[in-house]
Amino acid sequence: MKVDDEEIRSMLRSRSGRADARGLRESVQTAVRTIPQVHRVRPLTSARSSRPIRLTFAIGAVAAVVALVVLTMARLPLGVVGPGVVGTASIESSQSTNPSGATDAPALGRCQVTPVGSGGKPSEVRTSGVVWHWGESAWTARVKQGVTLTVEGKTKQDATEILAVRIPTSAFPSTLEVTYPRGSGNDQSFQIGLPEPGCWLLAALGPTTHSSVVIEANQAPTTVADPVSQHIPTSTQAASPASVCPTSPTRPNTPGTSLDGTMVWYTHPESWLIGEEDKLVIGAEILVEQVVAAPVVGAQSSPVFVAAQPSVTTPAPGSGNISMGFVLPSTGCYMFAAMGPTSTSTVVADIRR
Amino acid sequence: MLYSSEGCCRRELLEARLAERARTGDVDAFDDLMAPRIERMVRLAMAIIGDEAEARETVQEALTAIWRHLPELREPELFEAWAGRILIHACQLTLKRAGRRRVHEVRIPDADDPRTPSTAGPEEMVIRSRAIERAFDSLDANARALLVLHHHEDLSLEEIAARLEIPVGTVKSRLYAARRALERALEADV
Repeated sequence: MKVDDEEIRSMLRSRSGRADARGLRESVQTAVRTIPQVHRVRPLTSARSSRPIRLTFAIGAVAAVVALVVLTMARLPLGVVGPGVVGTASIESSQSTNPSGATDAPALGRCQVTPVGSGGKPSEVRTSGVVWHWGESAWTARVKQGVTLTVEGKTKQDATEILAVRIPTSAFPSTLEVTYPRGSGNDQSFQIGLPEPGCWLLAALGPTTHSSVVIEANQAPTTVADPVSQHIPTSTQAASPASVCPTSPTRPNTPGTSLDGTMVWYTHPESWLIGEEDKLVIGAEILVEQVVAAPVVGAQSSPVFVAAQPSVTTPAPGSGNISMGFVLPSTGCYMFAAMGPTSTSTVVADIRR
Repeated sequence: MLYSSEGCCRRELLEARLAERARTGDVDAFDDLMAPRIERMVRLAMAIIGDEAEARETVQEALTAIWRHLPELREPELFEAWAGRILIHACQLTLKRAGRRRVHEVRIPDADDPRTPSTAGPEEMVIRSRAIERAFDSLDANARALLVLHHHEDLSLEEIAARLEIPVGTVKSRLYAARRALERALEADV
């Protein structure tokens, strides 16, 4: 059945005429005052020039970078990738000689805090089917913050732990990992006392719960009590291989992919290259700026999950299908968290060779 | 581009300067740059998405993304196409999300709402217009974006190609396919 141009125009005019832009300018104006801009050496979303010479130059530059990466990889020992390698992240070997377990991050960025209020209310954040609530006071190192989790659509809550991973930034280049058990009773209440300031990824992990938020903890004021007296963990907890990996649900009819809401993670855990760079691809529905990988390990007899290895971050090019290189030192249970300006996405995969 | 002190290029020069200032974190410049565009952006998003709340949210997301990524824009004179591309991409993501949630909103026209189109005229025209809209809603995000850019924004094939970062020939063929898909959906609806 034929449709003429005027009919389409008329329908679209009528449709767009129902739009109401009132108040949007004010809300955007308010929002951008709190949202930092992205400054990268490598433009990811910049305008494309139509001039062929620029395209040729771009292809040449990419080829040069690829060649540099290949040469660099060939010279470096497995599991160690220098900070200059674009788009590549590594997790140091578990036999690291660094006693603190910390490592320099390949890509040090600023802290991309998940905005409070993205859950719909000023005091909450909703990511991956979990609503996070915490107090109105700012996060401060060595000061406990009460956190409550509500898993949407479930009456019986998961046995969930919160894993806190400090994300390396230029201000705090080292990583730390701490786990927090939930409080007693049926509610998912936690008392989170972060041992040091910095940018922290808090991940709620349980058999069917995979959710994370990013917060920034300020320096503790001098009046704060000794952390030991507050029972605030100060170092990575001892860990042993997880007895059960709380893997994310897989995508129906598509083996090797995990789902987090609308985000598709092509983890292909059965065929990872261990000790070499392998590609992780995400079908992103949110803007993704960094992706963190952290091994999830726990005591054999309890559902406690600990990040035993330093986590690292890598830049990811905006939204859409994103691929990035990760060098995982060993097989095991890994959490992957993608962080963006509006939300995060989290999956857990049991990585095997 | 040659800038003169008169005509179209004066405005473009001003906008390029605003974009340059906004790139360096000047919030007021960003506001000045975007304020005249917001209503048009919402109309475009509404034309593609069809749901007012989703359209507003999408524009807000797009504006936030534009602000965040402005420092990466190397040529401020290309701001218009660059920002338009971000908005189209945001609309496509919204539609994909909506499709996966399998939420289909049924709009009930409100006679008291001044934004509700007039129902005056032959009843058949109203019925047909609604059928075309239903057919349009059955199209995928890319087809909708193409039809809106061509028939609502009145962009040329070259401008659409620049906006979507695809060759002009691809725009032609996809526009034809989108039009055919619309007609097939209309046939199925009738």
